[in-house]
Amino acid sequence: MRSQMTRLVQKNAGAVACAFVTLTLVVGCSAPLSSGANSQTTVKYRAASKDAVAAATDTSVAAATGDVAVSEGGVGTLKGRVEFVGDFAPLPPLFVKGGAAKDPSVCGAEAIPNESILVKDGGLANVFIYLDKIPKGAVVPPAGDPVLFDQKVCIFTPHAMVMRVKQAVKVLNADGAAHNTHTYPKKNSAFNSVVQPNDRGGVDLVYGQAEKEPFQVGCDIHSWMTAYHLPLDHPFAAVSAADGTFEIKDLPAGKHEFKVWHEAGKMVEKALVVEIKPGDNNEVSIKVPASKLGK
Amino acid sequence: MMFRHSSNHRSVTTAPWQLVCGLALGIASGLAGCGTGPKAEFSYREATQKLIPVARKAIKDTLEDGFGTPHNLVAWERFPVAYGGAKASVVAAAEGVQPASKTISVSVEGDVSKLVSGASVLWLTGTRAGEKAAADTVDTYDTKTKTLTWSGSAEPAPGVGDVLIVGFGHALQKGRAVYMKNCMHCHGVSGDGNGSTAQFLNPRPRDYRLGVFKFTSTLSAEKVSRDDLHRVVKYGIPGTYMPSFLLLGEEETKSVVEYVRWLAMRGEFEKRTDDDLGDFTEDSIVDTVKKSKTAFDAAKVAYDATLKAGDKDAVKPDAPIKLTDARKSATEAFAKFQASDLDQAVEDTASFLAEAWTRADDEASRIAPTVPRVADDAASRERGRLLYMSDKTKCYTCHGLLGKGNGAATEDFWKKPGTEELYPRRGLHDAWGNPLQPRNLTLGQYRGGRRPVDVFRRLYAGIKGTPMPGFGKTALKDEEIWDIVNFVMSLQYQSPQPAKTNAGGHVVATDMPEAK
Amino acid sequence: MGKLWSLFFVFSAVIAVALCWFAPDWNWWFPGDGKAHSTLGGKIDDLFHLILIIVAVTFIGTQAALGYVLWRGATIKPEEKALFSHGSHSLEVIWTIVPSAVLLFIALYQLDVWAQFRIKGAIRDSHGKMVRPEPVAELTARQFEWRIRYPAKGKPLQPKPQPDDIYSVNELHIPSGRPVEVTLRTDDVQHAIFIPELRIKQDAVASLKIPVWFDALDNRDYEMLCAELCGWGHYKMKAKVVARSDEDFDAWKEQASAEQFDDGFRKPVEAK
Repeated sequence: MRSQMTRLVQKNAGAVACAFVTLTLVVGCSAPLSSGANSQTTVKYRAASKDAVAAATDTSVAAATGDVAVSEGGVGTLKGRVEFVGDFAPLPPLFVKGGAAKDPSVCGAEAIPNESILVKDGGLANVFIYLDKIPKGAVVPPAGDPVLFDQKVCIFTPHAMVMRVKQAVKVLNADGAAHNTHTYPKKNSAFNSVVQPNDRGGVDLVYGQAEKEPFQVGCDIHSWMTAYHLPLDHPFAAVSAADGTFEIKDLPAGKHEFKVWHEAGKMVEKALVVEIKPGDNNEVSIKVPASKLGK
Repeated sequence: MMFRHSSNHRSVTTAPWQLVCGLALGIASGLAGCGTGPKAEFSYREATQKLIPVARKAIKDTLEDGFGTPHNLVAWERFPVAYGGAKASVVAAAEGVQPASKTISVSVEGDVSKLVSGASVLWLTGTRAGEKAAADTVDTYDTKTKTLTWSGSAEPAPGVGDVLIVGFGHALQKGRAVYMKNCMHCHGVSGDGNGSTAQFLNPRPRDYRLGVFKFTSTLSAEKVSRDDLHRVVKYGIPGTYMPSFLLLGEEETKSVVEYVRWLAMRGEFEKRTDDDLGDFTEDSIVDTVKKSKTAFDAAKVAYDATLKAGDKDAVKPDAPIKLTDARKSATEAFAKFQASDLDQAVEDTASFLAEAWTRADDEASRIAPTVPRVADDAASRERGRLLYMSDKTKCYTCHGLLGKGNGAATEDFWKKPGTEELYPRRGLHDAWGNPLQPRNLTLGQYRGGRRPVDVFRRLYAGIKGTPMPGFGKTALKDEEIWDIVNFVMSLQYQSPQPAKTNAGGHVVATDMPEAK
Repeated sequence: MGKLWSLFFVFSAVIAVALCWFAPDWNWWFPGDGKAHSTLGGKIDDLFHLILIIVAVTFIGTQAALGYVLWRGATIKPEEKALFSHGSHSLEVIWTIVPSAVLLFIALYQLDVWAQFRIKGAIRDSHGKMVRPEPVAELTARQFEWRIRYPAKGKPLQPKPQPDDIYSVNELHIPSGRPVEVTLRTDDVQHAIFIPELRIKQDAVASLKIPVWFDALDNRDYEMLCAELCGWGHYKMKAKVVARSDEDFDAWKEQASAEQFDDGFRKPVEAK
């Protein structure tokens, strides 16, 4: 009640006045005491890289120039086939002939297929089979000539592609409409450039870093266009052909763990162990059940 | 104290204990707001939080070792950040001076003015390096004789060639102080664009942790340069909540730019390390278990069928992996990875970042037009308009036929990059997942700067982190880009001649240049 | 006890007067160097001082009377009877009319200055001649910075942006020594331009373009602040007013124009 409050204050007027005066003085003069977010900080020095690790990176560089001795156990070729296990009904096309959502005069010349799962004669296409790291004792030849990455009837060809780090990828355009090729890598810088209509000279696309997994490439104008790229710092990788077959040459003999990746199921096999014997007769059959592709 | 007691009237009486109480109350309430307040902490990415506990701890430890906390910073010399401080090396013990006098001759590189009394001295090499002389400070420095006297113990004496840094890290500390005062409330303590004010802002403040900045003068594969960041801090970004800090002062601006770069490196370091550890997430374990279960179910059905058919040689399928076993094996796999590969991965990431950020300030990374601006006349603007409407560039699909930023692409549902899902909202999005409207070119608002060279750079290399592509060197020649620049910059003052489109959004007009 | 309290109240009044007296020495007075740097500012300062004197006299008078009354009340003997008064009509008339007269005097006295600040074309330069200022810039306040648009050198400011206009942010350049007009507008919420050293303050209201006249007498930089709470960044919405001679102002405009229309092309250096 107000009158009770007033009486209380009146009785203790001295205390109240004293408290008020002290409060004012303390608040007014306490600026040096409070600090908050700008409190004292310390900076610790950390030297640049350790020497031991620097040496480790050097061996891979040496290998790339071919100066390292040839691996002792010999090299073998891995041939194989990726098999689709299960029933497969061909997926309906994304757009029928003439029905493309953009630039139908150019992109509608043919039906646009759904390339997310392509099976021919029981073999699964566009599967990446690759090694995570350069195997010990491997001879890594330098990157080769530029590879071509084309866009025809608003479809990327090839749909799945492996290339070497620092190898030029020529982005071509066989259509009468511009394409805005946009890559979405994890470690590399994104490439986002317009490729002129009917550009047969191509725009250079170079990846500076190896990636751990294939990543998507798209077109910002024609949103249905997809392809997958995997830049690696070694040649021990392959993409399965339309019938599921693939071949990897010059693998050093021994046990290797391959990663198997497909766009529908992502990492199908994290560590597929294959024993490579020297020579030409290493065969492997990778069975991919429909369940792993999310079907 | 005078006491008056009167039964006739109320009087004010003050007992001593009341005054003491009042004093105590006043002091307590006055000091209530003092103190250091809550400690600022770096936040971690969602992806880091989703790792299995051992992997998460490894990343957090790596980040703390490499960058520290907002209160205890770690300046890793690996990265091209100007931490501040003058490096010096011992030339000789000063002539005619007793060894125990703590005076040495030094040759200094860097800002000599920082060698003031009280500045910290950090011995990098030699007998005094390490913990022994951690608290040394500069006593005096004589610029003429180039002799430095330090305070602290005289033993052990430094040898010739020992390297020391004076005032190490002061620029980073200053940058941090400026950042915490001016930038943190929008950009967050870690530069994650999620400060306390960020939720009220559209467009949202930049999240530095992708290492991507939109308005740069560098090529599309390169990082932002110091100049670009300096410009943004000085002049702000018109049309957004990033204000101009023109009055901040040259040194403060420089130091805060360094701190922002440092935060960006830290954020990208975390992101890349997260990507390297992508196999060790909770989601992937759950996924493995699920996939193993479906495989088992399918195999069991097949097995039962073969059993029924009477085949006694059928092989029983392996039991599906249990969640706890999957976790255990993931933890063991990570331990193996940590022992063999983690250090290398961290080194690779650090090297990549160091190179990328150093390259960003090179002359070669900067976009400079090879021809001066084409004369800004009606002919050039018309050429620019035709290019804008052409199939070569398709500017109108996003920016609209009248340049109002309402092109057909803003009505589509776009795919999330790298996936097959669509964004929930129509229209374009940027790399940070925020909805992004194509620029309305008729407003005369140029976020990246209104100089002709700024607009040229947007067209040449695109805008990093957005769907705006680059046309330079590939699709368009420099003269053609200037024509478009002239056209675009005229849109603020005059509407373009409208063009006709067909049902598919494709421009049709009698005077379109033929696609070459 | 009562004596202590009456002394306490009188003491507070004495402290207040003492603080006011010593305030200029402690730099608690007018901003900057204490002087107004515009013609109108000088007049505003005079008004300030006039009102300060009137109020100070009133304050000292009333506090002294209060102190006396308190002291009397404290020292009165308990047996003295209180004076019972029915009020005094004449006293009430006096203490109504005198303050009203003072206030009326102040109101009428400052009308001239008010008119000079507000009414278009009514600004006089230091010689007393009526000068119509030219709009030198359009000042747009937005959260939390000041964006300024100047016309190209030698051209008048147009209400609509022109292709050769010059833009700057947080730095208002004006010619010094003569009256100038700045058109004030806001992009979002209400702001207020406040140049303390020139004694200028004007709200910026959405959808209005408000002319603000002033002259900066000296060739130096002045601080500009926002004086209307406009959001969480209001406190840091500072800008610089750069007043230079006409020649320097024109030279700056040329340089700013060159920087703004920079096409980034640099002639390749001849290899020697």
